[in-house]
This record gives sequence, C-alpha cells and structure tokens, in this order.
Amino acid sequence: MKQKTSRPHFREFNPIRELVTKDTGLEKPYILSYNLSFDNKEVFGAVALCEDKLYIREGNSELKIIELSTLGEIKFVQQWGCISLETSNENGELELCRADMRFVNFFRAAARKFEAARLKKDIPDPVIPRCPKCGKPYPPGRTTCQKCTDKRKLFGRLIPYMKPNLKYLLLAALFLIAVSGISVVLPILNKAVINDYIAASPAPSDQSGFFLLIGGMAALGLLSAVAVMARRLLVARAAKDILIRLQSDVYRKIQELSLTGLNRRSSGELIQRVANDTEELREFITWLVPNLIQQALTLGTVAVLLLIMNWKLTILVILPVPFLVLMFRVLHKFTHKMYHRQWQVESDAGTLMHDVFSGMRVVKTYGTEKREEKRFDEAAKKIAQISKKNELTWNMIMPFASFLLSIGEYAVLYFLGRELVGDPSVITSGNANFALGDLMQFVSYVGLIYEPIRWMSFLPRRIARATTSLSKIVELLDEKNEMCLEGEILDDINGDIEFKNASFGYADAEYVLKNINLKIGKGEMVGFVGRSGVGKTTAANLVLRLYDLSEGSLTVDGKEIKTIDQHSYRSKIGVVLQETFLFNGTIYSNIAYAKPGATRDEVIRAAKLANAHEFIMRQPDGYNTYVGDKGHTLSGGERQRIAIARAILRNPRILILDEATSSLDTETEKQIQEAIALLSGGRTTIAIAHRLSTLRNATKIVVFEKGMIEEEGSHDELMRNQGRYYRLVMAQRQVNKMQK
Amino acid sequence: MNDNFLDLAEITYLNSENSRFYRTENGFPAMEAVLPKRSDDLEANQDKTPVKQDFGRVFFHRCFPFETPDEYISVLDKDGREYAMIRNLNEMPEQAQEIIRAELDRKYLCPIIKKITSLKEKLGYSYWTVDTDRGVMSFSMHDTYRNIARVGGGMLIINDVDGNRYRINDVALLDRISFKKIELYL
Repeated sequence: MKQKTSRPHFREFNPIRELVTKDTGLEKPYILSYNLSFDNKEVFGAVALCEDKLYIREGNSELKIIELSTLGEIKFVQQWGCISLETSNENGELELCRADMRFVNFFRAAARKFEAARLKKDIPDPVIPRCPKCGKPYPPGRTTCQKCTDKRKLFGRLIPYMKPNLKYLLLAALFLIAVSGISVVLPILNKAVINDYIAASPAPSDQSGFFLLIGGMAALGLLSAVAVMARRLLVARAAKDILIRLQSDVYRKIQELSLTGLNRRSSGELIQRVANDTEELREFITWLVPNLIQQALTLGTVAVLLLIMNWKLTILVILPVPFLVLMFRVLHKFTHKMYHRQWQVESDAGTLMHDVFSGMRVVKTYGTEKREEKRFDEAAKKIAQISKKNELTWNMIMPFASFLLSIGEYAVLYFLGRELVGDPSVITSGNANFALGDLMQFVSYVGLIYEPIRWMSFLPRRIARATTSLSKIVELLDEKNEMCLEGEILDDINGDIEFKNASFGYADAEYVLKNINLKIGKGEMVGFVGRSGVGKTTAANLVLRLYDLSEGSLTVDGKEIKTIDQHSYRSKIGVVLQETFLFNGTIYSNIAYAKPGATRDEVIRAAKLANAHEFIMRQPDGYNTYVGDKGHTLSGGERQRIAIARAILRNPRILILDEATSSLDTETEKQIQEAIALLSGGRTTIAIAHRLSTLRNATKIVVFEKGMIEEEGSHDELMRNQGRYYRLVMAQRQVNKMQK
Repeated sequence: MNDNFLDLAEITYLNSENSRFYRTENGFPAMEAVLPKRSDDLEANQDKTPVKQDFGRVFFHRCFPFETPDEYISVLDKDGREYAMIRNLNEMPEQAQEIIRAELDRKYLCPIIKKITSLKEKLGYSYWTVDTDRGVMSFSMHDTYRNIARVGGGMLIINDVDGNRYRINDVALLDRISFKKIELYL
C-alpha cells in the first residue's frame, strides 16, 4: 500500500509549495496545491494568494503572477473525473489550475477564498476538516477517519450500554466459568471411574465409590446444562436491553441531525445504522465476548492440565496448532468468497424482483412479461448454479477438515496407547504413570483444546465486522450538529422576514443563492417565480431554517434566525410541499400530525378549508380511512389537500407553499386560493409556483434567475417593466390559448 | 403527417461544411458554425434560418461516454444548452478532430486499469494498487460492490472514495491474478 503513486498527492511533499511561499515573501500564505496540467498531465503545482495577486507555479516552468483585479469571476468547475478553477482575463475565459478528484474540497474552498479576495472581501482561510493523525481529509459524508480510530477507545464506548445490565452480565460470566470448569472436571471423574473401578485389578470390594462417581458425573452434566441455560437466559435479557438502548440512541441522534448532516447519507444507510449495525453490536456483546471468555478459559486451564500430565505429549499436541490456525484462515477466506458470491447473486435477484414488481404497470403496458420472466429465470439459474457448487465444495471440504482436527487425538492415542499395549502390566498394576483412565482423560483434553483454537481462528473477521459497525455508529453519535437549535424562545412572531446579502451553498458546493436582498413584510403574500433550479425552494428552505446561510443574514422580526429556538420558531410555520408525504395511518392522524391534541372539530374545520372534507366523506371509512406510506388509495390532488389541511390546522404565522396546488385542477385551486387568501390575512405567505395564475393574490412577485433575484415588484409593475416576468406571463397565456 | 413520431425531433449534426473549430487565446475550443440564431425560450416567434455565427468557447459532452466515446458528442454553450451534435468524431476534419479530442481528454479523466497488484478489504473499505495507462496508482473504495459500475461487455467503471474514476476495458482480458482479486466484486 505504501507503493509510490505516480499522481502527485496533497499528502506528499510538494516542492512547489515551498517555492511559492518564498515567492510571496509571506510567512504563511493561503496556498492551493494542484496536480494536473492544462492537458491533464501529472505535475506538481501550487497557487498562492498574496494580497491582490495570485502566484502560480507549475512544475519547472516560471512563476506567473496575476493581478486579481484583471480577472473575472473565479469559479470551481466540475469535469468528469477531474476538477478545475476557471476565471477570465482580457483574452476571454482562462483556466487557473486543475487536479484530480482528491483535491475537490480544497478546490471548492479555494474558489471561494480567491473570489472573495478578488472582490476585496477577506474571508477566513477555509478549513478542510482532516484526520489529525494521517492528515487525509475525511471522505465525503464522514467525520472520522476509519483508518486511524483507536480500537480500544472504540470498544470502551460500549461500556455505558452494558452498565445497566452489569449485574446480569456478571452473573452470566459466573455461569460461564462454571461451564468451563465442569468441562474440565468431567474427564477427571471419568479417569477415576476407569482407573479405580473398571480397569482396576483386583476389582475393589467397595462399590459405593463407583456409583458415587457416576452419580457425580451425571449431576455435573445436569449442572452444566442448567448453567448454560441460565447463562443464555441472562444474556438474552441483557441483549434485548442493550439493543434497545443502542437503537434508540442512534435513532434519536438521526432525528437531531440537521438536514445537511442527513443529506450526506442515504436513508438506506441510516436504516442500516439503526437496524443492522446495532444488531451486529448486540451479537458482539452477547455472543462473541462471552464465548471468547469461555473458550479462552477452557483453552488456558486445559493447556495447563495437559502440561502437568505429560509435557512431552502436550508439545506434540500443540505443535500442529499454528498449521491448523493457518488452515482455518485459508479455509475461511475461501468459503467466505464462496458464500459472498452466493449472497451477491441472491441479492441481485432480489433487486430484480423488487424492480419488476414495483414497475408492474410498465411491464404490463409494454407487454414485456416474457422478457422479464427470462431475466429472472437467468438470475435464478445463476443462483442455483452457484449454490450447488458451493454446497458441493463445502461438503467436500468440511469432513476432511474435521478429520484433520482430530488428527492430534489419533497421535496421542498412538503414543500413549503404544505404551499401554506394549506393557500390559501397567493396566493390571495400575501404578504406572499412565493408566487407561489417564489415557482417556488426556484424549478428552486434547479434544477440548482444539475446539477453542478452531473457534478463535474465525475471530479476527468477526471482530473486524463488529469494529466496522461500531465505528460507524460512534461516528454518527459523535457527529456535531452544525446548526445550533437552541436560542430565544418566541411565544409569537409577526412574520417580518428579511434577507440581507444572503448567500447559500450546500456543503462546499457552489452557491445556489448569491447575494439575496429581500424584505417580506408581515401579512404579505409573496410569490417566488423562476425556472427550475434557480433557488426558489432553497430560499424557502432557508426561511424554514432547514439550513443555515453561508454568508449574510436572515432575520425574522428583526432577530437573526440563528438565535431563535428552532422548535418554537417552527411551531409558527406551516408548510405545504410539492411532494406530499403521508405517514402510515388514518387521514385524521395525518392531518392532526401538525397539532397533537387537536380536537376532531378543529381537524374537520381544517379539512373543510382545504377543500378536503368532501372527498374524505366519499371514503367509506371517512376520516378513519387508512392511507399507506405512499397514500396509494388517494390521488395526487387529494393528498395535496390533506397536506394543506395539515398546514392550516397549525394556524401558522408564516405559511410556505412550495408548488402546493400544482396537482389540483383549476377549480379546486381557485377555491383553495380563496381559502388561503382568507387565511393569510395578517399572515406572511411565501408561495412558489410555476403556474402563474396561482399567484394572482400575491402582493409581491420575486423573479429568481441563476441564484439571484432578477426582478421584484407587484404583478402590475412587473408587467409594465416587460422583463422576464412579463415574458413568462405572455408565454403561459399563449399556452392557455392553445388549450382553449 | 409524419410517418414516425420521432421525426418531429431534429438533431443538428455538425460537419466540415457547417462548422469550423478553433482555439481561443487561452487555449479553449471555440466554434464558428452555420446554425439558427439563439433565442430565449420565451420568445414567441423563433427564426429557424441558419446563419453563420461565431459562438466563441464551446463545451463538449459525450452522450455515451462508455459505449461510443467518439460518437454522439454534444456541443454545448456554457449553460449546457446544446448547439448541435457531432455524429462521429472520425468523420470531422483533421484540425477539428485534434481540437475536440484534446478537449475531451481534458474533460474526461479516467485511467485505464491494466493490472491489479494489490486489493485488500478492511473495515468496509477496500484498498487498491493498480497499474494504469497513467502509471501506478493506489486508491481506496467504500461500499466496493456498489461503486463498481458494470457497463456491459465486461467493462467496469470504478468510483473511488474521492470521486475519481477508473476503467477496466474488459475484465475477462485481465491477467489471472488480477482477475482473482477482483472476482469477488463481480
């Protein structure tokens, strides 16, 4: 892994960095390293910022000094597998530098820094979070370095989860020791039975000891069974508690995370964290650790006992152990590969099925059932083929492997047995070092010692799996919420909103909104207009405070939004989004979601305002109609009306409607418009709409274009200006005419 | 009446007659072509008669970057709006080919893996050292199985943790040792 990479990397010493630092004459200038030339050849390069100039050096070529004032906007450009910074000079567009994707965070940050310097603004040097140990920036979406986490500290994090069940766990440990102890004692009793009674000559006259021994063995066997049972019960109980604690902690953390933190992860990944990773840890605590203790205990005591009994033979027994361990490792790797492939094809087939079943309508309308059948057939055949091969190999290897395991026992039998067979007097006299009973005891111990060894050879992989799960969970639990949620608690708000020089970009990406200045007064209804992807929804999300601004300020009632308690603030906002999400539950519970403890009377009123009451009453179960996660039984417009009712029920001070009426027919939309107009008296409303007729009641229209506000004013003013809005209206009118 | 619904859509292809490529002072590709005048989408009457125009800097984007890297190349403006399409790069004049190829090589960076010297998996990450057409490279991957795109015809596109891409033209043609290493993820 330490092999030299041909591509210059930021971790390696970059001689150009030193040179450029010297050039600027500054002690610690802001420097961006890069590793590709204009035509994508590997090269060492660096750009340094020195007041109002950029110093650029690349490979062996001469120092270039560029005055920032001669340049146009400096932007980050995403290529395909590489990135670059571009700007322009008197000759047109110009590339400053380029690099491969490892530099992406640095390039994005540098683009901002350089652009700020060009505009004579001084922003703090961007800090790219890196692992303090290896210096590598964290991979996207991570806040810890997987390679460098301290394993011991990591497992220490599990202790708090075990603590409340410590009593049970300790008790379980006690039983564990008991079971180990019994397994060691049993061969001793066995020996006594054989040596003192069965093989003894002359047979002892007093037989009572014989029955006592047999009885003792049976009793110990029973005790062992009881201990195993008790241990399992205790552990199962503790396990359940631990799992619940872990899961609820992880779940709570996920809920607390800001959207920025959540967007970095897919919902599949989050489910994985809550369900699978916690389960993996439960298994680790309740199964792996106790077994490890038990196996280690058995191994230790048996090894000591064997050494005491006959050290020469013991060495003979232990000699093949390293080979056995090696064999099991190899075997395991092999079978892992086998079963991994099987798992992979099975999951592929699963995906295929999921795909086809959820796309059944498409399959049917295009009449491709036969083709899909064939596709599935092929997948199923592939699974059958692989699993057949795997079973075959497994069944061929395993008996052989067990035989190899018992080879030590055969060796012991041979060496000890030879001694006994060669000299029958040993048996008859019973005085020799090794009697028949000793032989039996020794052989049982050899059997006992191999089991832990076999078990432990699988250990590294199991521990690795637990570590992976644990480190992912710990990372999530440790993630700092970048948004401060607490602050001044507001009983009520007026709804004056103001953006001042506000800019915003997701994570380090390019700005989605640039330098927005906008005042929305109390009770105003403002329409956000513009094509898709120009930042309308982002602006609304900022008002909702799903994200914090990157630069500038956003105030509500003159107070910086960041200083307001998020919970109290959000309770004053009602939102209807384009994508209506209905929870699994009844229509009633979905509307009442906005206001826990709402009366039935209130819910019905809200539904009536949202024009939903009528269609709800057409459902056989009325408000108790059950809607699934996607609300399959309802049409798009119906779902939207439920969402509107939900927002209305909240009696919000600020109402945000993001394409809230897009799925409604014109009639219904008009009715709801009127309801909203009534509702929005004294309430601030922000409405995003493509259909401009939706905004007929708006007091102000804001036209967005490329992350900036292009026009702002009332409908009449904008129509007079004949700008973008005018053209939009004209174009829509034309479409409407065509429809007529 | 159109015979085929699809005839309604038109693709403008560039050729040696209707286009000329050159480089800007700063080395970017630029185009002069005979094409209809650009107008705002919202404009009511759009004039479709082609006129010779200098568009300045242009951008390229492959429609099928894996399957036919030399065919169906879209020529775009800086906002990603298409001017026209190149059907087959090899049929363009020499000089245009040279400019376009150079720009495509600049935009699409994807080393071709010739040999896998080491591949280890640890804690959910896999660590690779490979020989490529651009020299020896090491990189790491997360969620390895899902980050290998099986494009078809044995071609694999590998996405590493940083977002760099690597290509294996045909896994079946890898040497035996390399193939054994990557087999698990196929």
